[in-house]
Amino acid sequence: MDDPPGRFRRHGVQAVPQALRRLRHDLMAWVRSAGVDAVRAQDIVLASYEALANVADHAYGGSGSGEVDLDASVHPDRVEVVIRDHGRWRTPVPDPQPVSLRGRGLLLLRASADRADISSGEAGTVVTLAWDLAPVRP
Amino acid sequence: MTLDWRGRAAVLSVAGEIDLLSAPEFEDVVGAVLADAPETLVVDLREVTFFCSAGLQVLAAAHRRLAERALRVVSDSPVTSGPLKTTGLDTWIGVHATVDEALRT
Repeated sequence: MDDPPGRFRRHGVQAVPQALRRLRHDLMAWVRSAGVDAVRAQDIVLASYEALANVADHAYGGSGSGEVDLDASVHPDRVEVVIRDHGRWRTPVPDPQPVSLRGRGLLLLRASADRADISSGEAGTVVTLAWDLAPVRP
Repeated sequence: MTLDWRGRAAVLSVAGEIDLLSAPEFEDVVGAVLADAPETLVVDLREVTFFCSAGLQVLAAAHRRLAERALRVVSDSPVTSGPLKTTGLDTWIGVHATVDEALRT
């Protein structure tokens, strides 16, 4: 699949572990080939994967997999990744013990991206992630 | 994954990626080790190339089944230490640079 320069698009990916691992690998390869440094690339791929993992865990109520769309783009000053699903994110049941068993995915997602927006509606959820890139000297 | 016993301390070395696909196996292996009731469990993550919340979940569950401070992690990369620090799990699970250091605590 040839992506136009600066853009990466995978739509209709099954939100199951095998397909999400493949998508993560493809995203990493694309991010690196776009010239993003290794450290920044790890943050981008980790945050994106946590969003994908949330889709696999929550969006389709455990009754078989739904699909997820990922669009990524690299610009001179930033990288953006948008992850879209068509389900409803279940509200996680809070675990009050000091070391809880759930809920770290979104924490990692927000900590690994410069900007993260999660918007849920009737038609699904859109996660928009962005990282600033150091401006290239002309 | 390889397991090494040093007295009552179990040292579990993990390699490769820990994600949704491999986390269940990681969980099964950790469960099997815990069934032998180690006093200390050291999880060596230095050969792990990808680590996410699925892996943290396994460590958190293992921590809850052990005595306080009994679970330690060996990490020499932000790939594995980063998620532990970001989520504050490093408050409960010591992160060390070597297995020997992890066992010495």
